[in-house]
Amino acid sequence: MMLQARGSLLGLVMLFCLPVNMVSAAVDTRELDISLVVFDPGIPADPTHNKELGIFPKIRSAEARYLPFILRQVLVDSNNWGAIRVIPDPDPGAELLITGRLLHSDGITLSFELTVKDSRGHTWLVKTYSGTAAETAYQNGRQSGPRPFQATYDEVLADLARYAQTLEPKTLETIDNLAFLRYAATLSPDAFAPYFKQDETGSYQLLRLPAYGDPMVSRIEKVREQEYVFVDTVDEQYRRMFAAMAPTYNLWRRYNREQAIYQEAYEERLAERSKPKHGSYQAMKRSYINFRWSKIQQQESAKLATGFNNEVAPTVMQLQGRVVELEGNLEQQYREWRRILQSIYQLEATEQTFTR
Amino acid sequence: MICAPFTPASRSINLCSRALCLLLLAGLLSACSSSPPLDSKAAPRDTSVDFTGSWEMDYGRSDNVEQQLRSIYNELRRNAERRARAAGGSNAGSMNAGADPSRTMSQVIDLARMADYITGSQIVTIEQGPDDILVEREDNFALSCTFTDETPEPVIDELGSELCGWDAHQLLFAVHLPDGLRINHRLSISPDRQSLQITTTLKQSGSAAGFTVNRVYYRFNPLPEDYECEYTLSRGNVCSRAKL
Repeated sequence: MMLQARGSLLGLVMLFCLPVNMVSAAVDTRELDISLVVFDPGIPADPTHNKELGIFPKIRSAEARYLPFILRQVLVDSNNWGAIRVIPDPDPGAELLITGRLLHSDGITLSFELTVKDSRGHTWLVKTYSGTAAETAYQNGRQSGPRPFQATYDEVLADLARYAQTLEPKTLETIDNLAFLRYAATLSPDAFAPYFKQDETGSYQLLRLPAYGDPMVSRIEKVREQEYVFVDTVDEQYRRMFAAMAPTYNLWRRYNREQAIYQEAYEERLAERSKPKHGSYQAMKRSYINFRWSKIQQQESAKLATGFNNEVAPTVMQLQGRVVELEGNLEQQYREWRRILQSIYQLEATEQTFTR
Repeated sequence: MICAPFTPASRSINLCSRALCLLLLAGLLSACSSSPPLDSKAAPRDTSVDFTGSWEMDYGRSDNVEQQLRSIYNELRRNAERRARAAGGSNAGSMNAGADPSRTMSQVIDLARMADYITGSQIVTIEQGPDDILVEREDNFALSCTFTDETPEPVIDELGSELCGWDAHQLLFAVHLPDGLRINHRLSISPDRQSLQITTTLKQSGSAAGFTVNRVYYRFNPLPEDYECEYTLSRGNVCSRAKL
């Protein structure tokens, strides 16, 4: 934990003893943990718009959970960051928190908005990422090669790395300390809130650090470790679920991609033809065929969505009984777990007070 | 009695072929095609109506578009002759007499061809739930409707718009295409639930002419009921023996 080690006088002395060029060198982002929140699926509140937007709510919900895992894998593969966890709710104790919203996903184009903030409340980026899948992205049985939309994920990596390069090592230390203290304050606000303050812009400032050897700090550390165990367990369940889902999901994206490309080509061919006389049989037929094609395309997508759900649903159901209710209730379980941890902490803190 | 409730004995309405003149024909079709107006609140739904089932076209009881056109042509010709005689002119029998009947005939022929093209589905499969309906038509897109007690809202995209709703015991679908073609489908079922009638009316903007065609379907049982099928993405449609 950085709180004491980096905050110690020795650490400070060592920092000042370093050559100037090393002080200004890029920080080691492998010390920075990232919490990735399950994406907002971007499903309109009014379900009547789903059809025209080509949104299938169940698939969107699955994608909202699946895509953060892909992003996590990309971050892990880069080997540039610390622990990377996917969590159901924003974590106040995150060193670097990534939240996202799905904007579009149809097999050809993937578009999502990401917001990245550190524990100081500083926004690293708010950006919309859009990418196009390569023709070979969903080839049957592919086990190797770049994943679909790899370039989009690489762009996220590059943006994060670019921002991280602007940080000073001292800033990294502050991020770490603030993350811990903000987390601690959720468990014991009276004890830990005085160590930092939030200004009118929403940024957090570190005021001071707990005393070295403060027993409350070690209790918070224990609770936090338990929470990580919980998150990692859920994480493993998600990983298994998505490993099972991936082939079907890629098939769905591949079919969607093929349909969209065919429709585009079809519309181009129609546009190239000379326009028949208004009101003639040829004109009416052309207009009707266009509409019919568009409707059939929509309906085929809906059929594929049903096929997707029929295949994936049993996996979800099987997992539901085994560990946590992944379908919809994980967020509640997470909150409940945090509430239990808070109670344990309070109980331990009270016991400590009485035994002193 | 163009828009009267459907009964098996009523046979096909064959409105167009029995019109006395083209103007009356156009007027009647116009009245049928816009009744009731789907852009206003439709009549309350009769919740006992259920179109669910598999339906096959009954050619004997459905309109024959060629015959309809022949009737229209004969009516138009007789009308032109009457006008010519009344005017004392020498071009009796010409389709060009009066208010350019040849042009109108041409429009009706185009609409009739379109109506024949649109309503050619031999098999119709309908799934109706408490809140929605899906009318799957062979070789065509499915008509779908989510029932609402509110004023129906059109679903609009750049290639056309759709509107649907109930008119008491009849279900209406209206499609409006960008070039001005309006297609109305009116579904009704016989009291014994063994016959389905789909009345389709086409109108083109800027033209007084319209065309209506009735297709009658009889109920059939498509598959042995001891099979259960489920569509999956990787294996396609998978059928298995139902658990007894």
